[in-house]
Amino acid sequence: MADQAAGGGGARLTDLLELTRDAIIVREVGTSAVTYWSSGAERLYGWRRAEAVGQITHTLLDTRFPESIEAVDAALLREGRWEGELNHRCRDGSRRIVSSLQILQRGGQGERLAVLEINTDITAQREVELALDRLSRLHRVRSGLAETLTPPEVASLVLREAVPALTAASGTVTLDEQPLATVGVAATGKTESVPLVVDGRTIGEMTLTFEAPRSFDLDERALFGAFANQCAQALERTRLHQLAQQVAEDLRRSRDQLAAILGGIAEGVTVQGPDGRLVYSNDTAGRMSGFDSAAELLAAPISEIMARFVLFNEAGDPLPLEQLPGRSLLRGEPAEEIIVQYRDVRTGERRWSILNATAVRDDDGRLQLVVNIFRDITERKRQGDATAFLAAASNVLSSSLDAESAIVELAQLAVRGLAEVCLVDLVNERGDPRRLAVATSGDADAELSIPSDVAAIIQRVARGGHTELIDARAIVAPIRTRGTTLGVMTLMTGSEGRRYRPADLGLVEDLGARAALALENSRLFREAQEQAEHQATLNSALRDTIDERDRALTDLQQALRTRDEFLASASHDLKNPLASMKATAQLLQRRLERSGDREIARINEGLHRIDSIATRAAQLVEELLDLARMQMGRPLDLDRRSVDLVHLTRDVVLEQQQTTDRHTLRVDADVPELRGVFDAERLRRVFTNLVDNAIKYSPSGGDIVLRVAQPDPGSAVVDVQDQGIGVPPEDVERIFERFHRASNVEGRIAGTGIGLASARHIVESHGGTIEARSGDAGGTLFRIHLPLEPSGEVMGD
Amino acid sequence: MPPRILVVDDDTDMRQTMGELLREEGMAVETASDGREALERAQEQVPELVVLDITLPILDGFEVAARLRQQYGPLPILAVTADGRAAAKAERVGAYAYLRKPFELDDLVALVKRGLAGI
Repeated sequence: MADQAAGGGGARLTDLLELTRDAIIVREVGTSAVTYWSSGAERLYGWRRAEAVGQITHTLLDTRFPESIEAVDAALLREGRWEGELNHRCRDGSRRIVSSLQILQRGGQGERLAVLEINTDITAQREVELALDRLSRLHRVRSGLAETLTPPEVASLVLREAVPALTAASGTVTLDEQPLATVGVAATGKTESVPLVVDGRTIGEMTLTFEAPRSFDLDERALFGAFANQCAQALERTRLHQLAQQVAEDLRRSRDQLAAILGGIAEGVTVQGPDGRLVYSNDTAGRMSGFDSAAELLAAPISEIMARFVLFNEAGDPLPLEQLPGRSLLRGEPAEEIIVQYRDVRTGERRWSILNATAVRDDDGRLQLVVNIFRDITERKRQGDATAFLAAASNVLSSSLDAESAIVELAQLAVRGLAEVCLVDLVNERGDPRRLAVATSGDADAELSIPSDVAAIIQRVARGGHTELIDARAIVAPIRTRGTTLGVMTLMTGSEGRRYRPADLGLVEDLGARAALALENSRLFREAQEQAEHQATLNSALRDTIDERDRALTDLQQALRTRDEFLASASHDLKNPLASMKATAQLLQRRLERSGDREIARINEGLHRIDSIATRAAQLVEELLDLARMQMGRPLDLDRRSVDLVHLTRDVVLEQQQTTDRHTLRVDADVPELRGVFDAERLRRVFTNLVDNAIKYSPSGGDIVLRVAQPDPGSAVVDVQDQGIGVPPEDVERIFERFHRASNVEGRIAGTGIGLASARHIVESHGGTIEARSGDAGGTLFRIHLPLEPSGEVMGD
Repeated sequence: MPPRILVVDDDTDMRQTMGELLREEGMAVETASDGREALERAQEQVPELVVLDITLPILDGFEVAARLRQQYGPLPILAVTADGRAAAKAERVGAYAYLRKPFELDDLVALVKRGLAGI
């Protein structure tokens, strides 16, 4: 079928189709039933040929078409071909994206025979493109949200990137159960929602709708989370900004209500007078500053407060106090919201806070108060770092096809914020770990700072595949994909670093899963390369084989020439001495006959015998050479001249009659003379052989008749009929084969099995045929059909 | 004058036997063992008939026959060969008759006489 589909070419074409890794499918027109399924298709889809043949292709593969199958069929009918991307489901349920080329095969009359599909797996390519697109969308959201926006603007900005990144039909963001923004056209299919969470509080929800039910993979879920996280944090910033303005407004209206308003809120709020002195603090601000209450904070001198903290800007550089927004306002300059890092001098822990300040002015615009609002964003900052880290990790992992060096780079990335020490161990088939990477944040000797019991935990995780959190100081997570643990990733913090919590486990697991995917992809890529190299080797081997065959053919032709030359010279060399011997014997005979001496009669008889022996030896040489030619499958060098078959057969009959008394031999001829251009000696051999056989296989005697006839002007027929034991029907086809003897004579009547093979060789060299059949009145009938003139047989010198 | 016969055969025994036979039949026989020698003998004295083996060293029978005809005009040639396709080869030589080795000496004598008689 594949031959037919690809235009013929025999079994070799099918072999060729089997060589390619592409899936090659031939399906019927109309029914779409599979008629050919290449081993490439078996590898790609997991269905065996025997399972696939007869199935409907788009049902078997649950094909998703860019438009519809009708559109594909219409294109095939209109243009004879269709090219595009298809989405197929494999036997194991996974889906593959293929680049498909489909060609309609037409027969000689233009009838539609079949559709040939060549499907190339481009899933990996599409996945990389998709991952890059998603990263760039996430990046656009992050940079877009740096500006100050209203909540609906924030929501729209995030949704504009999130909806296409996750191939959703539409998306909606709600805040406090009120819709903020919707992007896209709402679909009726499935919806997926992610809560918008700020420091453990759910403030809203991001919902995506899809045209068809779908499930998220690891990357997509992380991406959805990252978009939601960006959205939540931006909305929170917006809210804080509004809150600060609200507070300022309220203060302006009523200072008395200040405590009531600010007492219960989660943000720290302090109020400074125009001289910078603290006039108000809520309890949250007090606790955040390390005091037990607002009252204690208010009582402390500013120098003591500031001594408790070391301030840094967002990038980690020391931050001058003058840059705090409240200070700017006190100087009469505009204030901007800033993010600060600060280190609590007493605990050593580094934390993050967002600061905003609003000026309260009287009706004349004079500065009366500065309201500072600050919020601890340490957890949020860590989450943001984690998201950025995952994005960077994805970049690193997808930028290199050498997964191991990418993972070493990943470890370096991890110690810039997530950990002080990062270890990566790979696991072999027996589950033994091998250390691939050690990365440290500082100049500390990493090996020394690794606790000795970590090795045992790594072994345990490698075997069990479950993440472990150790004393908030280390996370040991498996590098795991499709149920197989490929390695272990260990993150550790130093004595002054952050503390890990159960919530951090997900991040490290995610990282492990990404590393595993990279390892797996790298392995697949390596295998694909090896496959390509293997194919190149195969091709070159094929070329070598062809060259070798050509050489062998040349050698063979040379050998055939040598053999033919040998046969020709053997014939000449063997017959010449026999001819000389015979001629000499005859010459001596002639001389003796002339001398007339009686005593010499016995010498004469001896010479006559030598003459006969030489004649017979020459005949044997001739037959032997013929036999050699027959065994080599070469045609005979016929010595053709005009011969009368009637005369020849009569001659044979006369000769053979002398060997038997029990049989009666005769020639029945329809015509007085039947001349053709034959090799007389060889035909004589054929008839002699057949008559000899007839005598041999008619042990009870009887008639042996040679019938000579001319059925048409161009040919002659000679039948040799006996009344002997006949040839069993099952042997009729084979008695002309060399060394084959009929089952009813084998072991009973002596013979070599060469005579009939040689007879057929001679007849066929004349362009004729010979056949055997059971005679009408029992016995055997051999029928020889001979063209009278040579035609088309191999001539030459 | 006895008829002049040139016998050409590279097989010494055969050449001598044929030569003796024809001499005993009353003919004047010259012999040659290869094609070049055959042309030399003919140059010395043009034969009336040539008994010519086809497979010869140096110049083969076809070549010898062609050159003899070129120089001396029509000349009866009796071809002799031990090879296959004797009839076809004899035709190429332009022989009036041929003998396949091994042959009967009676046939040789009869064919030579026929050639000399121009039948």
